Amino acid sequence: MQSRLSQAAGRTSIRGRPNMVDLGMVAKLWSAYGINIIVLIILLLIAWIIGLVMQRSQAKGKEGSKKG
Amino acid sequence: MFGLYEMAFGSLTWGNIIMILLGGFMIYLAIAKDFEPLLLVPIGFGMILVNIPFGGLMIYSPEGFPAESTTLGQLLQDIGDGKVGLLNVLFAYGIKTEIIPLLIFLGLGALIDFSPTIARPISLFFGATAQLGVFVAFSIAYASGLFTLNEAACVGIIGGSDGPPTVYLTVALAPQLLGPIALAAYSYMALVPIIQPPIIRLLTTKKERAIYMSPKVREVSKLELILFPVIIFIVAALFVPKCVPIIGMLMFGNLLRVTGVTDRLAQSAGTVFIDILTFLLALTVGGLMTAEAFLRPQTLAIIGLAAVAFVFSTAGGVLGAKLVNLFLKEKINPMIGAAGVSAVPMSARVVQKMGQKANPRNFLLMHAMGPNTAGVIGTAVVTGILYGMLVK
Repeated sequence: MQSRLSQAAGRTSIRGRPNMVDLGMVAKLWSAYGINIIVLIILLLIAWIIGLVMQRSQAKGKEGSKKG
Repeated sequence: MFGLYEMAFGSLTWGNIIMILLGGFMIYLAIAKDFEPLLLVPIGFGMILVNIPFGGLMIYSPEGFPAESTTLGQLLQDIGDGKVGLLNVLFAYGIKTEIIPLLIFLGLGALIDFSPTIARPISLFFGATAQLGVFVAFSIAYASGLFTLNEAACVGIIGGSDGPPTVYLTVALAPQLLGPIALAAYSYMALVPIIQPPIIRLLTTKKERAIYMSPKVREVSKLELILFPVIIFIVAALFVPKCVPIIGMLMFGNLLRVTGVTDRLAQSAGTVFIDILTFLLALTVGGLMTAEAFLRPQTLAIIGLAAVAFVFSTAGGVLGAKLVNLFLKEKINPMIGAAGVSAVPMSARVVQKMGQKANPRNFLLMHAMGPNTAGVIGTAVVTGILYGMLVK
């Protein structure tokens, strides 16, 4: 993908503008949107798990101090 | 005119005059309308500085690029000879090397409070969906035939509504467009309160806008605040290695803020440090806007596409929140998704204002700050992905 994208990025006419629109390349670049959403969903899950663990350990700590 | 002495009047072109007026207009907007004054004042003045003939602050090569020196020793000689100017030096060593945009991101990290994002992690999803405008603007720019693939990606990234990533990607992919792209990005950020409300109203019902959200946000522990930048950086970097410089700086700055033992560093990074870098960046960006470089059909297209990018990013955020609402028992106000466009804290304020208008009991600021700061992470990740795909 890298090489085709690189080719598309550099494929220009004499005036320096693209000769034609490569819809395949557009579609491949749109995949970046999907990758971005997936990566941020993974980050979301990690942040959520960290929060859950922290809240539970805090609750346990409070319970422990009450019992003590 | 007087022998060896030469005034600039004779060489002043209509283009220069237009650019000087435009620079003046930027300064007016900043002072009179309070539109991003910290950026538009130096950008506007930079535009004026470089459009005075023979000024010599920014000298261009015959090919139309800022002149450069081959070595540091040569640079000193060239400055003395008037072959390069101060702004050439700032551009070559500060912006072209990506040092200034990256360090600004460090300062930004020191200013950002991620606790609303940590308290409501779903904000990260809105920060992702609100990048829609990047890809819509990219597609239109590329299809228009006015831009190459790389240039179109740089036009699209304006939709991330975040200055440093925009500068970072544009310097790497299309430095010739840095002036108009940076100007459009920073100007439109100031226009967020005007652009976003009609889009939010269009995509939400009155009932949805009035959805009440308790102003109470979960209290985030210090350990969570410390773990967040470190873990998010490592995971994001493993998935998108090319985002390491940009998200690394952001999270490093944030770590300085939350450790509790580096307050002095965080305070420096978030005040004087970021201020100096911001005006150096803005002045140099303004210095890139000579009449020859700016007054082109591409510039008008960039200004139009930037609006498209902001509109679709707002729509992406709102639609993301509406999508999440389909699965939630306790519905969230879909307007908070619009804050995912970053533009911290402007878009969160827009949501807060609209929320109070729709339901005076509502206080959405803290709920909107979550997607708002998540949008910064989203834009950094998108920038890294595009960088990885397009930089040879």
